[in-house]
Amino acid sequence: MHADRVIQAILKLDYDKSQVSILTSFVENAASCYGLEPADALDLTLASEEIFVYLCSQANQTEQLEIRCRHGGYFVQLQFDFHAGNFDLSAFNLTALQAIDITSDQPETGLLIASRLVDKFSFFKHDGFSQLILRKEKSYPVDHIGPLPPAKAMRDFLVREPEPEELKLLVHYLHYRYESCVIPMSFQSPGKVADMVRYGACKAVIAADKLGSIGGGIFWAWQNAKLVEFWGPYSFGEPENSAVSSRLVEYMISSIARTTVVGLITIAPSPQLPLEYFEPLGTLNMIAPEGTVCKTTCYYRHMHEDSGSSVWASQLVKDFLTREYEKHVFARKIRIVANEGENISQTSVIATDIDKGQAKATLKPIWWGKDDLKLIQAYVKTLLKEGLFNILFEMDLGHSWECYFTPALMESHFEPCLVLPYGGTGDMLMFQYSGGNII
Amino acid sequence: MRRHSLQKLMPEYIKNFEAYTPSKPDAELAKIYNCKKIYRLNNNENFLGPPAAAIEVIRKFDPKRAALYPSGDSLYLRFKLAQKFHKDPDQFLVGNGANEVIGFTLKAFCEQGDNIITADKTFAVYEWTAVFSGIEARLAPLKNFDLDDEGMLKLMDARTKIIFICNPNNPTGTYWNSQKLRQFIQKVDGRAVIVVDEAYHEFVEKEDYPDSMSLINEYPNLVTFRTFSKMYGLAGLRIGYLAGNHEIVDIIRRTCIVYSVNTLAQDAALIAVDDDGHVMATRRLVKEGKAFLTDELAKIGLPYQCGEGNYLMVKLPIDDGLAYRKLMTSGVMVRTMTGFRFPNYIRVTISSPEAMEALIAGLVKIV
Repeated sequence: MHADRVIQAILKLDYDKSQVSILTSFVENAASCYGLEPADALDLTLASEEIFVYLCSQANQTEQLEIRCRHGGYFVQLQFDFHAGNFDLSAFNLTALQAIDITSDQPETGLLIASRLVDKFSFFKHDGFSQLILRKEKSYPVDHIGPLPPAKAMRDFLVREPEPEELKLLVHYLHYRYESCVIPMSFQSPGKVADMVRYGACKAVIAADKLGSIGGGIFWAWQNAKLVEFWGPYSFGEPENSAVSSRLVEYMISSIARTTVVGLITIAPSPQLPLEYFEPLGTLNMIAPEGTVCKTTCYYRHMHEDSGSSVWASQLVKDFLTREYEKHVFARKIRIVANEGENISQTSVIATDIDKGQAKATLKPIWWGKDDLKLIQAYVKTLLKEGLFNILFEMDLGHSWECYFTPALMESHFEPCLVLPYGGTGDMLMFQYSGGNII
Repeated sequence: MRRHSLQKLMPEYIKNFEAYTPSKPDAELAKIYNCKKIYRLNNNENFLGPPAAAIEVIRKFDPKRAALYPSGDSLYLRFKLAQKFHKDPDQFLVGNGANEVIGFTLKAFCEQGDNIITADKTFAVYEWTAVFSGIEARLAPLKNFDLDDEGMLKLMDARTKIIFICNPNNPTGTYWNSQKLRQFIQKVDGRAVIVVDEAYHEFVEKEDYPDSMSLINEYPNLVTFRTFSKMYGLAGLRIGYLAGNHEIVDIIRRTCIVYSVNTLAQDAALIAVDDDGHVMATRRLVKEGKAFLTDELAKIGLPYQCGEGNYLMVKLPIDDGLAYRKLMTSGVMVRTMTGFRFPNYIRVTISSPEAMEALIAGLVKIV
């Protein structure tokens, strides 16, 4: 198989529960063919069944549903594409209970059940179309390598892309030499990282001398067309801010300098991060699945010359935004939004992006309505119950209506933590659930 | 409308391409950054403006001529250039800025599967134009801030059609001397078109700096680019040109967009080209500005890269994007070098003494 080609199978079905066996056969066969172990393929199949039955119970039109099963190298992904207009979108709140089949004993929606069976669960809505994405990752052996020889300081080295075996060795080094909180959760297995790089999920470069000794490395991945997240730089046998770290960072910056990327961010900076290339953006408290808390400063680099813009905001976060914009010298006109008695919807809709590996759920507003407080609090309860302790809320300050969620968020113990310039249509204000009690 | 229809129509190489976002007009930036005055040190414009005679031509331009099409192939200007450089008028093509003649040349010689070669840290438009035309851009890393001739030659293959040499290089100011350029042309041995972009030619006083215009009759695969935007202060009118031997210019002419150069630009360029006094005055300004800046930068401990051209690069101990925003609050607009793959560098145009002092004051504040 070629890593640079999308391998996928596509199935189109009517919204008719009687066809569920066609779907399950399709998913199970495709998942097995794309490399999932039988147990993992079965999880994905069951999740797809839950989603399909749920969609059938919600659809109010006869248009067909399209299901794509994609081989992602280290994962298999199912994507359900459908017209948003065919559904009451509030049914896609992970917490929605109103659509339960009353004849079923199951007290939860198919969405929630499906989300438990997979590693990544996302719901998006854009331009009248909706997507549900389920991702199940391949099982890889966890890195159990013993102690490695001490690394030496490097004098003459080149920064270059690694061979797969060099990449795996780099990951071994990371686990041996670094605290877990500066290594991404998804890097538990060297084989998985090799597949991630091979299939384009992330990029990696190493610093190596002429004899092939590895002195360090750095990884980065596109989160979307405008934002790149990176991990590292990792530098072995070097004092902080060494030439190795700087060269790795410069290589990464140069390689994305003429792309669509606007911002470069790390939420798990290594101790050797050369700070002169970045500015501290804010702090996140990330809780690992085993319960350890990592308070990390996010570092950011804006890749363009900023010529200013306007943002919408609630009065409640105006001081925070003013402080942040002044600190980072981003010229912004803050326009305050408030409801002034106009008619509003009864229901809110919030999409969820769940990353189990990082015990993280990111909430993204789809629609604002009167029940925002109730919905947010229901989300928090549900997500905490699922072991997703890191709950973030992304508010696009380019959309005035998203700011209406601010009072409900603040009341639900969410705190504004950082602003990502141009992270959405406008700047993206990130809130983090701070751990208060939800009644 | 069907879903994603435009996405399906778009070629892959366009999907992944980032459109260039130009700076906002000065008045807008002044409002946004709350500063009274903007010192434009970002585009290597000439602080002295156009030559006096060109200013007069612009001032006296009859507005009624705006209703008439210009000379479609800049006839009078080509005659003037031929006279100045002792060539034939048909050896010149005039474009709407030198950027346009880059596009003409690329379209004339490249098709899908071909490649061009340039440096990784140089004027970005060669790479951009290739990429958004679906042509591979092969980039040779600089060596000590200079274009690497051997590195470029190693990147050549049977599908290499054009090699772009920015001489002096923007933004490093380094240049290939006559001997190096001639040796390179001989090693390429006619296998590819060699474009020597001399946008900053008129600023260079070094004796060993080559005059590629004098080589074009000798090497049929050589093309020279020049512009009226820098030394001649006509950036706002958009006018530049290329020169080569008859055969190569005949080929490039086939992809030329006629009538793209407006009448005012042609008139102003026609008179500007003779003004050697303006060239001397500008060189003096640049020389004095560089002396002042390099002294001051040394005093505040900031490393710099200063070569030929009306610009220099400064290495900062902070992110150049952050430096840009901070300097803008003092009204000093510089060019960040991240986009040129020089992270944490800024490029500054050598301008008036007042602007240079404002720059130094701004830098002292932020570092």
